[in-house]
Amino acid sequence: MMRKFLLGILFVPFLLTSCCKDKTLNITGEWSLISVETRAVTIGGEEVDVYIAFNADKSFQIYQMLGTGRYRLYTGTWSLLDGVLSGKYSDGTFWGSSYDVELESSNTILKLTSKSAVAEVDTYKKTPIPDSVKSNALLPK
Amino acid sequence: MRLGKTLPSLFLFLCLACSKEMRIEEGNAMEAVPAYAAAKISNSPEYSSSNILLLKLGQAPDTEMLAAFRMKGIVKIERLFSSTPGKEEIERKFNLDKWYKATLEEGAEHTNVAIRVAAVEEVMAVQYNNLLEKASDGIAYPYTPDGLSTRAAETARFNDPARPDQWNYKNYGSFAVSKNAYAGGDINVEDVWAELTAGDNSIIVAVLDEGVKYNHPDLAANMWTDEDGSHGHNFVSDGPITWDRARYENNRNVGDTGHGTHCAGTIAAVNNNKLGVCGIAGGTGNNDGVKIMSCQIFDSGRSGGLAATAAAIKYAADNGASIISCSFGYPGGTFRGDKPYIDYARAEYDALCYFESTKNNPVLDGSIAIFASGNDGDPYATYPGALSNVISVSAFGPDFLPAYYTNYGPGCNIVAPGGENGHLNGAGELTDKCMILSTLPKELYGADYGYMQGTSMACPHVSGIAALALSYAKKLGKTYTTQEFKDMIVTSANDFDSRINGQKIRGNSTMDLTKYRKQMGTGSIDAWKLMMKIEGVPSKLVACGQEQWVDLSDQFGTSSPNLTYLKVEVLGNGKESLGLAKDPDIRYGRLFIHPTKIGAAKIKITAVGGGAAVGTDKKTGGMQVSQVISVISRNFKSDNGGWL
Repeated sequence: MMRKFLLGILFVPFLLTSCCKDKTLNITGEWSLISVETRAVTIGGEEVDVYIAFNADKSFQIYQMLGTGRYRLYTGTWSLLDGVLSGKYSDGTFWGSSYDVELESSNTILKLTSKSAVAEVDTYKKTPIPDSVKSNALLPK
Repeated sequence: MRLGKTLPSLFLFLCLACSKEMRIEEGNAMEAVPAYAAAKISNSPEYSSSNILLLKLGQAPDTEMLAAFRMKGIVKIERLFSSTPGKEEIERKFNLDKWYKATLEEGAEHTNVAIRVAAVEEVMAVQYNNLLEKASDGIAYPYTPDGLSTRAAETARFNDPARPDQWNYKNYGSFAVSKNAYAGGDINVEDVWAELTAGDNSIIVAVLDEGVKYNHPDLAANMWTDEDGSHGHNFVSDGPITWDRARYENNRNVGDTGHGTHCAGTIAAVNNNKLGVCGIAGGTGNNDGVKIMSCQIFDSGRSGGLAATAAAIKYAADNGASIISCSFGYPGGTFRGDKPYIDYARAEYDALCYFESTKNNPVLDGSIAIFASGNDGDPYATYPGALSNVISVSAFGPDFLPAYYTNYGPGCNIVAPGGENGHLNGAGELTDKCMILSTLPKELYGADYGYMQGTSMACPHVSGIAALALSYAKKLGKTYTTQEFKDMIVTSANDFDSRINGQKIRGNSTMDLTKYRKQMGTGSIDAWKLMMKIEGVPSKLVACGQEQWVDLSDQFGTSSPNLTYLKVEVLGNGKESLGLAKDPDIRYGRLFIHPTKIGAAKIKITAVGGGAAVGTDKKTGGMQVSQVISVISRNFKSDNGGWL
């Protein structure tokens, strides 16, 4: 009986640490991609423009314009556990990767480091998504 | 019209080929004509007008030449193409300055005159004035509104009361149209009207056809008008435009049918005027529809032939048209390959080249010709539409399946609604609603609107969508070469093949569909897709370090897996940017690629639009179309293209 109590005592601090870490990582809000790895928002000369809204109800919207054309809207749900962000699109497709999350500069800079075979660091700045982007975005086919 | 080599003509040619000279009867005398003269005659006298010849001359006729012509039975000779000030150089480039129209004296036998005139040294070529036919049965069914409100009426963008009966714009699969109507089997234009454009009044579409009724209440506001107040020209009579000259033989009207007026209405009937029908590029009701130019080449059922068509094409070029909509042609199989057609109808082809090279809008470096593929039910398109660099349109019915009459196979580049009679509605009754509703001359039918069917009706759908695309591109400040624009049109298509199997039901009969599989070009045209191409197609995300397939439906339509691909080229320094160890290629209709670096590349992919091979001088085939796909490589990707 004592042993079980001790185990309970041991586990509780660990659980408290995880919850606290996720609570300090408040990623809700609207974000704009500002770099991919060390690149500015172009890759190989193609403009990459991405806005993400992480909502408090665990839904998200991504407005992305890759290269040319209109912004495409992707929606789905996200979750943040132990500092790892993951998600699924509304069509059932999982994100291409989950991400280690870091917030900097008073939570105005969000760094997502992919947990893919070769990590990619994408940096976002807290930015309101322009109405012009939201109103004209197309749902992907 | 049925063309083909006649035995007498072939016999004459062979005789001339064997001898250096032949003797031609002229009056009571015989005239010696050198054998080489026959070789200058490039087409057949079958189904040609008997009082006209087209001559290509090495020099402008002088007094001596005119006298020689007169002796051989020509009473009048005039330039086929009137010269336009400032365009002399391009007219010379396409040899339009060399073509003449010769009128024969009454009673002269035109094959006789042709061979004698061909013997004149300065004559480079002689062509009979072959006649063409419309790509429609020419039967119209007057429209009677049934006064029923429908779901379509409730959601329509425009207030034109007959719009709900135009399934070709929005097909709800209504049993009122057909028991087999297929929801979504349309040109997907309504969102374009709602969000992007419905036309631009600086864009002119020339309808080469019967005369367009320019004072039709649902067309008048969108008619092109020149400084003299005319809305086009009648190239048959060289007089005023006409549209109501019925002519009866055996109780059947073989004269005007309203064909031109009907085609014009599909392109640009005035939208949102609380009247009649909608036109694809008919505007929003604010005088912003594209303009229709009537280039009349059929008059009271009579074709003006090559001469009229050629002159009409040049007129369209010289008066600002950016598109010619041509619901006519030769019967399928008349020509096998581009060269025989070009040789046969050289004057018409020269005019076509001239038109395509004429810049009449800020978007393109030239102009676009769109043709009907023909109604013979043949496994190839008719010419001129079958030319490898010209768009030819086949037809589907409200069931979103090939219409029973449509040509298919090589040379047929894309499909559009052409209507199809014989369908039963939900009550088991024959209905006209399964055909295409558009404007008609009231003088002929007692109604301003009515239904027709044919690839004639399919062709103006593509012409109208092309006009919409020009309007939108102009709005966005985009520019293209004509080839790029044609490529975009032909690849803005939806899958049409996956439902082509087994049989289809039309009325009380069935129709086998097997022969149409993979024979309907790139698929069914989609107006929204074309506008999205004009906006720009987003790059595709690919994963670094992986071999993978990239779907090409954004570039080539949802029939992309079924197309024949010819070439894949990585442009600029894309290979280095992506770290491609080997060139990407097409496998099973998708792009196979293995990037090894984070980077981007533009990849140009060339395919055949309409057939298994591109048309050549010797064989009718499809159009070569190219699209550029942009690819961005990063360390991972999602399966649906989403960024995270």
